[in-house]
Amino acid sequence: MSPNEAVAKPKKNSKFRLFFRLKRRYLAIPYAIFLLLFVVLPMLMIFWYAFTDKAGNPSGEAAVAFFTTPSKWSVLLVSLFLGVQTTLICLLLGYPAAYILANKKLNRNGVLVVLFVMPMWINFVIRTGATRDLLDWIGLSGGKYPWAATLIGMVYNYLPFTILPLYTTMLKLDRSQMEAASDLGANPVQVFFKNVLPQTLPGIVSASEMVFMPVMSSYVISDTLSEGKITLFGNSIYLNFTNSQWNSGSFMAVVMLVIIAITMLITRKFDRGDATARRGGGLW
Amino acid sequence: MNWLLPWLTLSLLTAGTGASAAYQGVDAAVQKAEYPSITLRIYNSEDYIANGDEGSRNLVEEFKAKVLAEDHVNLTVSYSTFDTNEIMLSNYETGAQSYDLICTSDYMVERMMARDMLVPFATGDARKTLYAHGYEGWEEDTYEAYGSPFLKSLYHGIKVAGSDGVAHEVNDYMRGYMWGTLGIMYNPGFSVYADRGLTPDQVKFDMTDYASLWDKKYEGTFQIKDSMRDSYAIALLYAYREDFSKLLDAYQNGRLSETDYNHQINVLFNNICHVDEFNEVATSLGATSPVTDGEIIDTIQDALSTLMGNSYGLEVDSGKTDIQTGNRTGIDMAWSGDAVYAIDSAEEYGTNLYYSVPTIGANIWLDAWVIPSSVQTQEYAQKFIDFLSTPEIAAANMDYIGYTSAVAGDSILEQAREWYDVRMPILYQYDEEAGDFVWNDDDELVRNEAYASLSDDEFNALLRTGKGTIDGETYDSWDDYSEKNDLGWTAVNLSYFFNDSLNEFQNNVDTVFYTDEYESITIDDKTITAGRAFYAQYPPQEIVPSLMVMEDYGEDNQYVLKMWENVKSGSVPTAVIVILIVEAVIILAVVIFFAVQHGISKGLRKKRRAERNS
Repeated sequence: MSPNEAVAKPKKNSKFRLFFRLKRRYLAIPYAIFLLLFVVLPMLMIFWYAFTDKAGNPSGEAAVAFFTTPSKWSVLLVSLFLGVQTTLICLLLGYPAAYILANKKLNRNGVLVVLFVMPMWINFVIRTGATRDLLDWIGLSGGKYPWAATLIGMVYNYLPFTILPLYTTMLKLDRSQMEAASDLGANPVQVFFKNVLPQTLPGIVSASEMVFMPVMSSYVISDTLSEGKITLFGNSIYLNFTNSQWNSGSFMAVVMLVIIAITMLITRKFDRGDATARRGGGLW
Repeated sequence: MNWLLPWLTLSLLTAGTGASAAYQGVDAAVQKAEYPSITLRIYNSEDYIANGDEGSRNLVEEFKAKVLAEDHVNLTVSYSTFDTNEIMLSNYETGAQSYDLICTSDYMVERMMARDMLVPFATGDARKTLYAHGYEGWEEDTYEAYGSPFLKSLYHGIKVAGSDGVAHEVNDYMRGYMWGTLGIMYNPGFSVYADRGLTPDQVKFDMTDYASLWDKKYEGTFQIKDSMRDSYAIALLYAYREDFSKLLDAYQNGRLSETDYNHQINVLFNNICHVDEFNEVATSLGATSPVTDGEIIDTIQDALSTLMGNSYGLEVDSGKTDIQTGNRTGIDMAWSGDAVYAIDSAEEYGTNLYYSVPTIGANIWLDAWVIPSSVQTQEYAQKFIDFLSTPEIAAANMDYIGYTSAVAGDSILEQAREWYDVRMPILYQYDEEAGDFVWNDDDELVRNEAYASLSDDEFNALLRTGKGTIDGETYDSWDDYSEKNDLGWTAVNLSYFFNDSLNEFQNNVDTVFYTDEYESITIDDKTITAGRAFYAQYPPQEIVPSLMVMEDYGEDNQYVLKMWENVKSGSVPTAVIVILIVEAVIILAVVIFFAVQHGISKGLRKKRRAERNS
């Protein structure tokens, strides 16, 4: 494109463009206000409360209390544990499922995808209530098996979040590469590990992110399905806030932010340049 | 409080737009331009006042109409609701909104007093001065006259000091609204108990003892409250049950007066970290080694951890529904108000629920109105309380909410009698279809035809004594009637609650109820009373001296919170740690493997490129 062309084109209707541009900028204002009010400001407040004491003076009281209280550590460990398990199980279940869904021969018109995503259309609190009854009915009630019930509930709730990004990556799988690999003598196992897995890595990464973080902070599912016997980080923060322990509650929220930041940093290592295009970006 | 669905907010919305007009006996208050306008801002729990739904009266509208008629003031009521006391406090603390009147629980009243958040109610002459817009029609301090003397005496002597260090009586800062006990709701017919060889009578007997919840025979069948204060209360009563029963014994044998007994159990109940008073009582009971600081809270933590392990789980709201179907749980720690509701609605499932307050004592709860210091119209805040505490209004409110009103008086007594007294359907016409008694135009109950010819005095005498002709047979007394017809009635005297608040009715005589809900069960020479909704609504006289007020923990709240966090987080199972470590190692190994491989191939590529270029 020559530089002349580039300048000439907007000149034709420059008044309109100018007006339109201005207007476009204005369109961002509502969101900017929203961002400031509901994202930046609360974040600042969390940090403010986390590093001050009851009187509002700067203090590391909450931090010291957090690191010296075993119960907070055990809550953190349990949250991490459930987060990792749920992610792994979701990947194990979701990966083959996504592969099947992405296979045009097996899933001709995409009805199966809808079936997998359908539970997400129902509010998850209601769904969890139903899961509780269902588990009780098959003899796996949270009263007897709090860990199993919670894990099942978590996997059930977050499986669609694993399948969708995996599905979108697998739709774009370069099948000619796989064929080339087997033509060149790779056995199916080698094709999978050397070709399919690296190709779908961005999907795996975004699927893990979408499961691990929400599970860590969720509390309705664990509360309902473990019959209150498993306390996650989210419950603990809530308990602190409702008892006017703003500082320790906020510090726990900061800890949570740090953990999420770390996982983001790690997973970004695995992301490729075009990863955003491959992810199920429409979800978040 | 939250069991009737959030109709309230909905109806308020419609009332605000003038779409709803289901007031009973009141025309919608038509505001007049020449009158001054005042706004009263009320903050209450959700669905905690009669609002015109389900045929109830709309008390806020009635109050507005009364203000308009008496004071010539256009009153606007801005009514907001909250979920829990803690949320209310933090909303109020952050100062986003201010109010003239808040309804909250007893311990929160104390907490707010300690933080200088409340102003006292004006009484006597100060009250007269306060009512600048009109004293006529508001002369009677209705809570003073009809608020239950029992509840007032229970809180008498509880003082809280504000930041100036001067202690004030809690009673001067609050006006009771609804009250009840924290007890055990249970289903003696729960199938698991039959499987474990527990007869219904055995279950009923066991439920008068907190220790049963720690017993393996009830393992996995009960839910406890996911609420710090309530769980703390039952664990404390369990952990120190020997001390409590020694005191009960001393009281029953006349060695302790009722006042002393109630004072001493309250000392045991309310000393978390300051053990001196606790030890004084404990030593008098023969304790050899005094407890040390922090020991009580550790003991309670252990007790609660064991309790949690033995339970089906913790619940906030689901417990009262879980027990109704009769196949998930058999026991639920419940507030009496919720229990009344659950017992009633469980009958649809064919489940017969019972409610018990263990004999060594229980925690009492009271929801009360307070005036926050942000008040702008204390006059109308207090006038609203005067209005709500009128027995007739309080009865209408109680009929809608289903909890027990803190107000006594004739109308409340009548309301309770209609609900629970088994003599009523015999003497008065009862409409089975409507599920209610038949009323005449003067709003009086219609007598059964057989007694229509009796004079009022004769009829009242029959009601009181049961002496006369009932259903064509002659009886000496109601006991005689019950016995001859094999009805198993029990006479229950609620004089502790109603005495000294009655005008038409007679103390001690008209406060007697007859119920068929009480069961007397004797095992090992010990006799207990099992009861149901009536028991939950008004605890029987015999357990009343054992009811305790759990005060706000004040500064000690942080220790209790820490204890509760420890209980809830429990100890991490070893398996969890092992699995986490194994997984971390595997993930790390995979990452390193790929990184190394990546590095090797990168190195090779570099090498190749270098070779090609050279």
